[in-house]
Amino acid sequence: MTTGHAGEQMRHPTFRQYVVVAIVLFLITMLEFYIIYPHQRITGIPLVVVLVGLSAVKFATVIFFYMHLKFDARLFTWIFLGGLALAFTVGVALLTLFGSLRAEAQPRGFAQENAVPYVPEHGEGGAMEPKPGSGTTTGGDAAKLALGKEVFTGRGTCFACHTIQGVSTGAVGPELTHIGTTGSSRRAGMSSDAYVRQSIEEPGAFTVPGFPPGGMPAGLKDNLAKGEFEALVAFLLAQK
Amino acid sequence: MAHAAEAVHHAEATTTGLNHRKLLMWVFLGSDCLFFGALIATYMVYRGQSVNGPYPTDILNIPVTTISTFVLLCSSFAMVQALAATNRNDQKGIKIWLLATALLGTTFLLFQAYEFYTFSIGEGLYIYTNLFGSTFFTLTGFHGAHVTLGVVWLMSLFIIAFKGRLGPSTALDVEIAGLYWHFVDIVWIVIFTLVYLIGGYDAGPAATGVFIGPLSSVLPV
Repeated sequence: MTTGHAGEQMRHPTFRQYVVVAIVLFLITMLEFYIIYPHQRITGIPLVVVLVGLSAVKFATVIFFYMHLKFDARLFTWIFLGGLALAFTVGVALLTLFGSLRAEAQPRGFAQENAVPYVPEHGEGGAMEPKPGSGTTTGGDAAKLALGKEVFTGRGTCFACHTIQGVSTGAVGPELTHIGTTGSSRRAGMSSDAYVRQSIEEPGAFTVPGFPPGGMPAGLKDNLAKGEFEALVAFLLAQK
Repeated sequence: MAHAAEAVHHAEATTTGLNHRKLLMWVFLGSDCLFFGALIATYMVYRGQSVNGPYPTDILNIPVTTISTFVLLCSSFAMVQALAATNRNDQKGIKIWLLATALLGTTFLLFQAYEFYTFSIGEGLYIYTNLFGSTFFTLTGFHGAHVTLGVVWLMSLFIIAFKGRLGPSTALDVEIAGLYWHFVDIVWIVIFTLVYLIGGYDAGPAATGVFIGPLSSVLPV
């Protein structure tokens, strides 16, 4: 900008206003940068509140001054804010539906709770095959049991200690060849399903007589996707 | 634009008493809020849900993006100056400020091109790599497309201004382009805040809930 123009515009009140707006926007952005770089100086909810608040101020400043809604017909404001409010509502609805707003929300929680074992189709290339547990719909019990067996003999590491005849030969823990039926008789009032789940989730809760307490490691479930865990339980319960 | 001169001085004969084109632009911007709202919400829903990297904390370059954010803010300032010059019939000012706005917009796009290049070729994050890649490139890509359209619009206005056809009687042409341009700016304000400032340290599946913020140091496997 040339000096002549600047001098001319300086007498114009809106020019001063525009400059002030630009400086405000600049300072707010600097402040935001300072808050999070090189590390977050605040964390958690306060961080979100502060940053969202600051950007809301920037947002409002631009629409009311640069887009001169402050000085223009009210209808423009209502039309725009109407769209904005709708957009905001849609966003909150989406986040709520996917359980993302809960403070205790787990990342991938929604995906894991709804994961269905992946069933490879015939003729599908190996390169396209995603990890078990992250896959597509349906597949039925057979696929689920197959995945459960895979987990049992693979990343679940169950096979190392437990025998299921025809599947594994581990001898550290109790045999599980008929766990689908014997499971319900291990603890009073507990179904096979509940018993199997508890045995994996809280191994310390009960130890089968004749075996050393603490033999079953805790945290095995943490290595599994939700879908994989469910498949494993289904596989075990099918051992009748 | 035969009636443009009249339009400036007294309202057009419309049922709302407002200029049709300006009203249309505001309606469009209101609806565009929904467009970006959906993209932003999708980004937030899938935030922290990628099971493989690269994650935001690995590749987002916050200092560089802060600079490009400044560039875009400056372009908004240049835009209001272009409109002020048009209203004053300051022919030289119109051209300078329109060109400045377009160039600043182009600079922002170059920053984005650099970012996309380093993310993809440099770091291996493509739109199909993970949920972060899919939602990030879709969101910022559509914003970049808006900026690109804005730059084309501004350059068209610059050419018109070069022929001396912009002035107080056609100020509405500049004003409407300006509304669009500022909108692109405010969308970036939101994206910058959510993706870079709040989500800039997002890591893999270890992070906690969306609005509680990431704990990039925790990475179980």
